[in-house]
Amino acid sequence: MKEQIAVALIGTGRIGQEHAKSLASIPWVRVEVVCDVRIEAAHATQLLARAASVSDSVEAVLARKDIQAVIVCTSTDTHADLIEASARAGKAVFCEKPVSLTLDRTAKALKVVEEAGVAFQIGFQRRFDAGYAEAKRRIEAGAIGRLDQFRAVGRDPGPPPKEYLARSGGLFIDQAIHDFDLARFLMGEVDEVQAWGTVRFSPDAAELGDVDTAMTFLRFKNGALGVVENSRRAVFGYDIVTEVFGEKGKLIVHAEPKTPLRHYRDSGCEIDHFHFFMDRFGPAFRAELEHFFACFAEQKSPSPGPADALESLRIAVAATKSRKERRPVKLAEVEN
Amino acid sequence: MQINDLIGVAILGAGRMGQTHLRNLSGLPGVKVVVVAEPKIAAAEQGQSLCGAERALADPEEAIHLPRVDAVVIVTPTDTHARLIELAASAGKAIFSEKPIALDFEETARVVGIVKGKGVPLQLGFMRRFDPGYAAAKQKIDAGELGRVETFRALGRDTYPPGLKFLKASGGLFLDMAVHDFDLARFLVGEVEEVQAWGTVLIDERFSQADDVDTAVTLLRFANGALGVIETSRRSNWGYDIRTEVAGATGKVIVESPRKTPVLFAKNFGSSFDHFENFPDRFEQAYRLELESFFQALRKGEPPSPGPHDALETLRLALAAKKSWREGRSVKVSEISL
Repeated sequence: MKEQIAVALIGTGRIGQEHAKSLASIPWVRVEVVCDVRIEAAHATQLLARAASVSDSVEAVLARKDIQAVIVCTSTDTHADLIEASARAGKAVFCEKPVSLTLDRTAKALKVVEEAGVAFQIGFQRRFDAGYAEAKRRIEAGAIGRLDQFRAVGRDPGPPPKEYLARSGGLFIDQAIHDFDLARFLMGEVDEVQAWGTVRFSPDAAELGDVDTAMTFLRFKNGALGVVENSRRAVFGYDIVTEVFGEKGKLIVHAEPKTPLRHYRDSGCEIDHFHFFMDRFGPAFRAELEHFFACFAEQKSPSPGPADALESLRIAVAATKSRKERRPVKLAEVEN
Repeated sequence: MQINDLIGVAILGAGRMGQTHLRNLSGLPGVKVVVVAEPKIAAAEQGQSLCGAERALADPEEAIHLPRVDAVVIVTPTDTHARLIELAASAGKAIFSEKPIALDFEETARVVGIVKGKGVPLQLGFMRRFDPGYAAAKQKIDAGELGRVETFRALGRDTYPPGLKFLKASGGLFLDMAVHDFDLARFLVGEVEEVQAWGTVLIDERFSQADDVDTAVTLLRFANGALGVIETSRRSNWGYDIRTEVAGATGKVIVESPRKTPVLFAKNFGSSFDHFENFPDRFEQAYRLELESFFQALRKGEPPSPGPHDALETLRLALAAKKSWREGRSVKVSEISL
């Protein structure tokens, strides 16, 4: 058995708690400390993570020589500073997306990561879902030949609270970015986007100058075309569907039923939908951490890495610009 | 919750299934694996490193009796279950054991008697009950959404026929394999009164050598008047195939053989998707949830389920089916008794 990797978990909100449970069940990982400015929250998560200690000071945690890696699950506005401080302290970093809401700040933080030479992975968990991972494997094996079209639907069950929306960066940067990342993951880099957005049901979105419903067209560098549909509300549950169409076939990753149950009744046949990302992507959240630490143990660069964090954000920023300026936007226009 | 609320666990057996349970135990808050016991000490030590247990021992008896052990998880070969359950019960430890307790009724009843006498909690590893599909089906049936239940239909096909050595010690198709569908029948519909089973060898002559069958159909008459049928096969080239249907007066539920991944691959005028390979991948979540449920019950001081009664009644049903196959007649489940 190889030596266990000593880890600090920073941030103990909903996703922090989910990561704590995953970390506790990865045999070659040991959570040394759970850190949260609210110490009572850190205590609650300590049990989930089977952590040796708690702390309310990020500085104290990063100063510890024995900590080899940090898992950052704090609020978005703290990510960039924490990434920089962790990288300067020589720690490998896993961070929830996004690094920051702006390309400028993101590029700056990632430069610090690069200069420090530490490993970095961003939390685009969908890549680790069994369905998306299998689709990727088949595409790379040439099973559907030349890729021609990409189609994605991303609908959340309901709009987030107004306070969250106000700090989210808007629909494209907060929500559609997961579909943009899938587009890059499955198809390749994007050259140009055209986005339309509108407000159909959310007064909060209207008030904040955001949209709740959007369509984004993508032109990929390899010549393929794509479309991404997003909505902040779907009354029937979390609706994530992706299709890649190629010269020899197509792949669809469906919004699967949540359970194998079908209930037939007088009104028809019912299946269970997933409610949201926590249930739909539960196993993927665990698999992404396993990947991060497997790479750490083998001294490989984890993926999705710094370039993925930056380039997916670039698409989202370009889409936001396209929607506001009502014109197609080349990604090259959107510089760091 | 304080640190002294940790439930100390001894896991007995560190084979493939043991390792699955070990990983799941590591992910359970409030549970601490104290010791891994396995006669092959190298395997015990590997298990120890998987979950950060303090000790690795060759002797399960020594592990059961460690003072910090509150609960025992038994994942050893079938023929050792009864003895280990008895030892753990006598030592006052809570017990989670893989099914079955034993392959014969007398021995199972004897051990169940000891467990009940000592008043220790016992849960059996009928993991399918914890699959989100079956759990949701149960909920709907109990809520009366199907009205009066009329028929039960189950199909269980294993991917790979096992080897001759395993077969001879397995108790045969009804006790080893169909027993999971018998348990589902009891779980979803209720107790069974009468069975009629047909069995034959179609796949592999080794089953004849083991005095067993590889293909069977069992008819069930439930105590509540419903009828049921179970198809069982030891081979399934396309993957692990477990499907169940319960139909009632106002609706029915089907638990499908689900796709393994959400990928649909369309090509050459056809579409394909991925099947599960075997029980470890199909019921991965259920293996985790059954342990979660066991420890939750311990914390609340409630009896865990499925418990000793289910172990005995499901075995009784499997034995009745086996008898029916051998004797070529329908058998009342009550014929199987002490």
